[in-house]
Amino acid sequence: MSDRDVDLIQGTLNVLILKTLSWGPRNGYAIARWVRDTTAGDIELEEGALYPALHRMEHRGWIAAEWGVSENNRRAKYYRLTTLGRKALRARTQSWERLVDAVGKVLHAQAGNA
Amino acid sequence: MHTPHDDTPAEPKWRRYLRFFRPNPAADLQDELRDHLESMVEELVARGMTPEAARAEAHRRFGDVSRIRGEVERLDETQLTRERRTVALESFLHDVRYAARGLRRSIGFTLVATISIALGVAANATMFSVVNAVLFRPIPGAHAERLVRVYENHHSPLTWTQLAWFRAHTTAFDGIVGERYGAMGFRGAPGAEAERIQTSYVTQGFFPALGVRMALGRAFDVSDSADASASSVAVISHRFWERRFAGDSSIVGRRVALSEHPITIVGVTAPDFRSSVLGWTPDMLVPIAMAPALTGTRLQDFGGSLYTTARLRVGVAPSAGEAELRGALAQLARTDSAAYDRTTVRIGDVRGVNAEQRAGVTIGSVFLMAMVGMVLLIACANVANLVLGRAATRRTELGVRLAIGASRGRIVRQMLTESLLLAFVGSAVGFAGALLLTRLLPAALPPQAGLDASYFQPDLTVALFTGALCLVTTVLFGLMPALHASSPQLTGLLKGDDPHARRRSRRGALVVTQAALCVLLLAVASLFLRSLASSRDVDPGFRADGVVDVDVDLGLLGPGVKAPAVFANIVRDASSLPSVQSASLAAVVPLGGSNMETRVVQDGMTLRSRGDAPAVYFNVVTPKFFATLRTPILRGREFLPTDGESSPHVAVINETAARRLWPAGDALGKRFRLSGDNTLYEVVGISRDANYVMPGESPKATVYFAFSQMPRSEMTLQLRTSAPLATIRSALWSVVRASAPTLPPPPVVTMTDDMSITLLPVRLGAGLLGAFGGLALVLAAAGIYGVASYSVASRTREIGIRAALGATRARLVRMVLWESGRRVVIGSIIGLGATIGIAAGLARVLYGVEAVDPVVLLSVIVTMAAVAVIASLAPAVRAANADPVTSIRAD
Repeated sequence: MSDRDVDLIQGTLNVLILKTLSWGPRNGYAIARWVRDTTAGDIELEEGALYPALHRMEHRGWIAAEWGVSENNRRAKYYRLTTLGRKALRARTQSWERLVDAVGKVLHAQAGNA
Repeated sequence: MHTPHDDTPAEPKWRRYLRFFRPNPAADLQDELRDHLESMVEELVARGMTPEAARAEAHRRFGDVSRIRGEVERLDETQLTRERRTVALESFLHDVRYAARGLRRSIGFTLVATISIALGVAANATMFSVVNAVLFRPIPGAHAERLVRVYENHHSPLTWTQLAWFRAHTTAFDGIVGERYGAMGFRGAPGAEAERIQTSYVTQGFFPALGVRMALGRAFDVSDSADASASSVAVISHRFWERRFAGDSSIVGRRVALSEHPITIVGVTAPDFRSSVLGWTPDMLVPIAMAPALTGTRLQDFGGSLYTTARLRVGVAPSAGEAELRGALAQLARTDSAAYDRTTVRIGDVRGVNAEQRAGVTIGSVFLMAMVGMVLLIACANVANLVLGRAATRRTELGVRLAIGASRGRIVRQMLTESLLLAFVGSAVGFAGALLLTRLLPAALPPQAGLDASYFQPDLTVALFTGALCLVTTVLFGLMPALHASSPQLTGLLKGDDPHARRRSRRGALVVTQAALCVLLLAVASLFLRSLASSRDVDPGFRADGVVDVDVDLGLLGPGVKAPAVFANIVRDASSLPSVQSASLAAVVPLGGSNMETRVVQDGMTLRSRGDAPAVYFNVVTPKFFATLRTPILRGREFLPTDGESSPHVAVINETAARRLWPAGDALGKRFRLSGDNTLYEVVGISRDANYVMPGESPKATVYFAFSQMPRSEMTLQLRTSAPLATIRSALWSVVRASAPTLPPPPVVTMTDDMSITLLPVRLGAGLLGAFGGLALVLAAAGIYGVASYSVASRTREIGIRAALGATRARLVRMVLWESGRRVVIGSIIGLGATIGIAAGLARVLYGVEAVDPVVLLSVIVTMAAVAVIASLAPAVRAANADPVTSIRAD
């Protein structure tokens, strides 16, 4: 396991996956790599969390899967965002931003009052 | 540790083609994870690792593949189950909608089928409501499952001494309580008009032990040894509260009088309260501690009259409780071995009737349920018939659906759904009918039964039973047509077979079944009717017509009354009424539903134990008893006014008693005593045998004692009179009021009415079976008509050809009638065979019935044949009137 893992709460993991898929269909491996590359390796999605999250969101109808063949002629499962998923992404992005905003305010206030 | 390959074995490529047939989630997941691993390996190799190192590294990073796979598989599985369930439900709902549409389209079919099922289910649910009430229904209240009844020997109530002893010498029970029932005189206020009410004496702890809920006020908990002033409290039943006090909420604390004794009402039971004696509906419950003051009898002298219920401690098995009771009884027997000689104690079921009636009621219930079940079978046969006909008209539709690939299972499922929907609607209507019928039923029973309108009310058990009936009927009438319709005999059609021939024979079998069941039901019902008629014709050994009974219970007035003097006045005044020929008293009205038994010892005999003394029935009567009832005295004399309290004790015995007690020699002038008593009675007369318990019974040894020498507080005044009941009633009330001014007006009925209670089971059986038989006949007639109509319709061309070839109309009518008639005859023969089997059993319990009764059998067959002819007549005439030219073109 990576020791640089940032603790990811479930909702955050979902929103990261949804965001990643908003750029186009990807398989599980590509999702993990995209997140790792974008955060310069700060966030490493664990496979043990990634696949259950993918399947859960698939059951929920946020993402849909289709089978394709990868460059190396392997069967690969590609996930894409559904309309429902796009809505969920919007809602969760907003609430995440509100949270970050609120936490930021608290942290700054504490710094100011100290 | 794991090696790279054992987690993700390579899948043979051909397996992918399996996916054409159905998705394979496990293999998909494996592919998905393998893709991830391989991608990782490729990336590492691209960065310069050797493939082997890359693979090892990828596995290290990936973590435990099998754990991830397990987790995701579990997720998928849950989802899959959920989806499957949704799909199944949706498909079922689709089938239901499809069925509902189909049923709406053929409204005639739906109506007839629903009515058939509703009639059958209503009869069954009603009958089962009765069975439920008398056998299964638990008594309401908390933890009723821990309650048991306690009996002496097989089914006798306990004495107070036994109950108190058990209470003190056992630990298996949280409470042992008793209830003694009887009638008492009641006044709404001291000095107000008296009325006769039903009361129960209950022992200490009765209400908590039975979990009785109160609607108003409180229950009482008075020690059995409390004195009269401390125990002058009463709880009244909800029914009495509504009937007598119009639900007055200020009733609690009201002072009333019971048998002239002031008493305070402290509470009203909840409406669901039921006595621990099944069928007894007390208006008022009072502490048994009051009994000595109200009756003048000490508790220990009451005899075995306490219906006893015990609440088992949590975790104690009934058998353990029973064992402990046996031990306690053995201890008690050591204190008084004579009294408890040959006595045992046992535990019984608290639900339904008491042990005394249980065996008989169970047999009756099973018998009636079997009979009413046949009505449902006949109804099912009818509906099966209709469904078959419907399937025939939809042959093309079903054929096309099968041809374009609908699976057979799917079509069977769809047809069964339609049947289920029919059964459901029919059962719901039937259940509603049962709700109504069960309310009417108590009114149809004689008032002596004392049942309120809600007595047979269906509860959850009945609802579940009806649900089960719904499913059973679905299978009975739906399965055969569904299986049959979904397998068209295509080859047969190609070969030019008559497609209707097989169907006709299948429907013929249904008619045979219906006729057999119908004949069986009718025959059994006729046997009951015949028994009822024979019982009315039987000579009971006395003449009941012209006799009027007045139940005079001086016990209602409390212990201070001089019963012999009051009764003497009443008899004297009643005898002097102008229309009265003779008047007398009897403790028991023969065939009136009760009886008394005792054991006697002939003078000069010594007995080893109490049980060896001959058992005889007995009655206590006044002079003129035999004259009033017109039972001849064969030898000696009947009682005379000179047989007084202090004169020598005398008895009259019947012929059978004379023969049994003194087989050698003359009984007249012989002496005997009652077992456990030293008074000697001399036989002064021998009467002709008369029925006592059941009409037409084999003669029972019966002994009569003189009222003056064995006085009682409750006697029935019997009068032979020419006056009608309505006129003499008020005259008799005046007579009673003159001698006992405070007594509530006693019930005045004809002796014939009094005797009706003994015939109640037979009358009930005759009534119910008659209703079942009538219902069966109507249903069977509908079935016969349906099949004959179908047969004529499907043979249009054949009939046309026959007509064209010169068959007369009469001939065609005969042909159709014979087709129906043949099946009915076969069915009737089968039904009669079964009847003779059942009748052999019935002949043993029913009076005046023989296993093979030609009159009954013949009348049943004639009825059945007549119904068959009438039901087939219309189709037969239709066949005869058909125009040959159009007929031949048909089909």
